[in-house]
Amino acid sequence: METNPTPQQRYQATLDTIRQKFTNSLDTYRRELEGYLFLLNDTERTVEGLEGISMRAHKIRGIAPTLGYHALGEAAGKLETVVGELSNNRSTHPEKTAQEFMRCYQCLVSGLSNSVKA
Amino acid sequence: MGHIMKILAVDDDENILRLLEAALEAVDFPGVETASGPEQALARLGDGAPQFDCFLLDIQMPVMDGIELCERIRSMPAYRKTPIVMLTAMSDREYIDRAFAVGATDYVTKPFDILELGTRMRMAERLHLEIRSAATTQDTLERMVENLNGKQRFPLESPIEVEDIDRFLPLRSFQNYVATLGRGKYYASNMMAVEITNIKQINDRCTPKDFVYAITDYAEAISDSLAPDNLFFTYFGSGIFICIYNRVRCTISDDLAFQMQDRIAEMGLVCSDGAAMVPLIRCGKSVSPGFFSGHGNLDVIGRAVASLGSPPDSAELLPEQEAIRRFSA
Repeated sequence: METNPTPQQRYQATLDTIRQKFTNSLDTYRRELEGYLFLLNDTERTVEGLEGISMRAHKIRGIAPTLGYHALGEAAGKLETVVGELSNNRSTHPEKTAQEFMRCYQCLVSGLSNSVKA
Repeated sequence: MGHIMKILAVDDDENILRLLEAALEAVDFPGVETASGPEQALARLGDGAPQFDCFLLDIQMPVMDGIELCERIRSMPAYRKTPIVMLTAMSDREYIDRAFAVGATDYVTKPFDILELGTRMRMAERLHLEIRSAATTQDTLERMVENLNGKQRFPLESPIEVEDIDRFLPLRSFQNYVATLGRGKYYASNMMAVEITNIKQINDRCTPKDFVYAITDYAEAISDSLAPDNLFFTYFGSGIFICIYNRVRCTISDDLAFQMQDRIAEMGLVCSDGAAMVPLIRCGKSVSPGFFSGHGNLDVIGRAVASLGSPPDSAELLPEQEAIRRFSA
């Protein structure tokens, strides 16, 4: 006879469902980020591109560590921070910040690719 | 049967909200309500009677962040003291300080551990029940005071909650703030106790209302004397204030007690019978939490109180005060 799942079991089931959904979305996140990066080539769409990258990075940063993807969460957090500096002209060394942005971006994207393969 | 505290969780990530619902149910706080952003949350709150006993707020949300939302909630009379727990990936000290400065009572970083979440929610519930009880007790006490023509004394050991003083935290929020710094390994903070040594005499001469005003004025003097941007402080009870400050960004002068004394003298405080209310102030030593504070925040608070040299007189302490007093003995 089946018994009702306990609250703890329901939590674990919810966690597993969200984790699976996140894993299935990793490639989509990667392609979206690449799409937003492409926009940075267009002067008129740079802000849109940065906002898109920031939003995706924020989303990944918020949920990834909870689901066990700690490195991804950290990479997303760094990228979000650097995009913030670029977007708000807070950087005292814009070229250096731009290089840091590319480094963080590539770190996150390769993290997403590796997580898909894993 | 689960806990009956009505909780509103606010986060712009639907996955987090679903996880929170399931997690809170798993730790015996079922039925949490959710809002996908500050606008929806504020619309739910309206301006009527309080509907919620506790808030769980993410910080990083578009348009309005969780810290601003916390401030907006605090400005509503119905939610002036409601527990507000920040649940966020933002673990930088700057965010922690900003959150507590606008009235957050606790702080949990993501990824959250479900057992830790349960612990924080039980502490929030305890605070909620105390506030509910205090509101009733305060009303009863005020009526009793009126009936006794002001002869009733305000309990000396009560950790009076001062209002509208920058960087003042109620005792529980202060403990949670110290615990949050400990979990985040922010060890650049020092703690110091400031004591009004003749508090009993002041209490004896004051009406209960005057005593609360006096404690508020002393708190204002502390706030003015120290660099408020790098400081939080609380009233422990029995005339003792406890301050925590960033020792890298804030220096404490050797004549701090004299500075406070001067500020209070400038206020010209008097009791309702016209007698001057002159506090005698002494400061304890600055203590640092160290890397091995195995007893957590209570250890460093206890050491700060112990550095004054004499523990509070009254044996009738609140449980957390008694625990701190044991460390200071």
